[in-house]
Amino acid sequence: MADMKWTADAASRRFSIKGMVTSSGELAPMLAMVPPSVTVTMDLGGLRAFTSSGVQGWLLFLKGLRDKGCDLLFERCSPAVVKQTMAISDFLAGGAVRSLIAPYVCPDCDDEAEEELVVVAGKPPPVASSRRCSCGSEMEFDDLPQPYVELLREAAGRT
Amino acid sequence: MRAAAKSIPPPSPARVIVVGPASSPLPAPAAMLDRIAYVDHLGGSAPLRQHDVVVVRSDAQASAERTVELLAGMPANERPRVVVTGEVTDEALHALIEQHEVAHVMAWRGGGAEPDLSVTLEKLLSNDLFGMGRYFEQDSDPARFLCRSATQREELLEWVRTYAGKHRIRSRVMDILLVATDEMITNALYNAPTDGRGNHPYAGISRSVPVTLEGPVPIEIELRCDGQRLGISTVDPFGSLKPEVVLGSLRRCFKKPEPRPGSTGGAGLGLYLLLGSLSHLIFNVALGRRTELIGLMDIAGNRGRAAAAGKSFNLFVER
Repeated sequence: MADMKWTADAASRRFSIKGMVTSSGELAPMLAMVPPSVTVTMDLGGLRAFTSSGVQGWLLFLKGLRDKGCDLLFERCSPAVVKQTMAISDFLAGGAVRSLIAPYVCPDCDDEAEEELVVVAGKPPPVASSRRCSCGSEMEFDDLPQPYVELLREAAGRT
Repeated sequence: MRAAAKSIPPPSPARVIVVGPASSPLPAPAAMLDRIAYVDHLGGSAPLRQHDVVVVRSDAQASAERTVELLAGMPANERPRVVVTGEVTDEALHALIEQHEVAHVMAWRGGGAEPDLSVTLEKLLSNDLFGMGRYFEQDSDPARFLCRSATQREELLEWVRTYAGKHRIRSRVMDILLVATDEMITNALYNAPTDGRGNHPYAGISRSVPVTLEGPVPIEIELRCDGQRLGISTVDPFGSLKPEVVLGSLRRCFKKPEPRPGSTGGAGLGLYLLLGSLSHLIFNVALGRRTELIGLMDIAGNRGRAAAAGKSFNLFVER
């Protein structure tokens, strides 16, 4: 895991964020380039972790986007994001969640895999407890399922 | 590094009372066995007054609740130190922490907590607190890194990555380890330093502004791994971490429903994240002299089972 990296589309409305968020400074350039009163979509699938300074920076960043009148849409929320939504108040600043990343690990070969769980037509997708590994074994869900279930249910309820 | 004060065992045998079924003896070194007594339940507070440490084995929910009641009726200076272990309900655990500043919570991890429980009792009775090695079997591959400036952060994280890679730590555990490293070194460099008048000159500085320790003693970081779990520790030469700050974070972490600290920051949020990420977090504090933070994490098996197994926490303050 490296420090945070991000990319943006040409209209500065869609961002992909990866790595570990460690401060507000690294998020400030994104905030500056987003036009006011637009819907900002963020792909958080590669976001691996937040430090405490990163959490504070993240909350300031989203507040800044809200203050600009932006709506927020989050895609592929990583396990690190899901974890923080359960621990930190309003961690996604009231934004909508389109999908989560469910983590799996193989107990035999230690291989790791991810599966995107997408909210469709107001229905939360099931969180499977296992999936097939390329080695032939059954991979296990690699986290507590409850936060995923709750966030998906909450996301579905808003659509 | 400044030499630690030599630990002197108490002159009279300190004693432990275990509240819970005597049919399953407490794991403890042989030398300690004659200092441990068992009661199925507490009829009054006399047994608590007569012992230095009470271990509440929460296999029996009533034991924890009764202990809470009795402790509430005792003067603070007569209360024994309390170690809670087992599958106590969140409500009872929170009451113990909230009302009585319980500083030792040992999650029941399918028997896996027993060696750590034994270490906890040894430390409480001996006052010999420092060192991560006692939490590991031999051959835990200790490695050390000395740090005196935040400019060494990237070098430190790379050192940790290399160590974890050598032990084939998988990516999700690596993420936790790197965050723990960052939080612990940030705490040691920014929150721990004092200026001799009890002020924390770096605590209010943005973490993006590098600070450098002025004194001769660096922060020492240690890693250990035995194949089942991985440990990281930091030792700073300040001993300025306030027990009440640590216990405040403990309360928030174990409170039910799960706490939402919002935008609170500083050491509080960092400790909260550490508690949320690690299997076992240990604070060893010699006030005014040094603080050691030890973080242990399970590296075998999946993260869900590790999280479901609960968290252990110890705050030791040298007497």
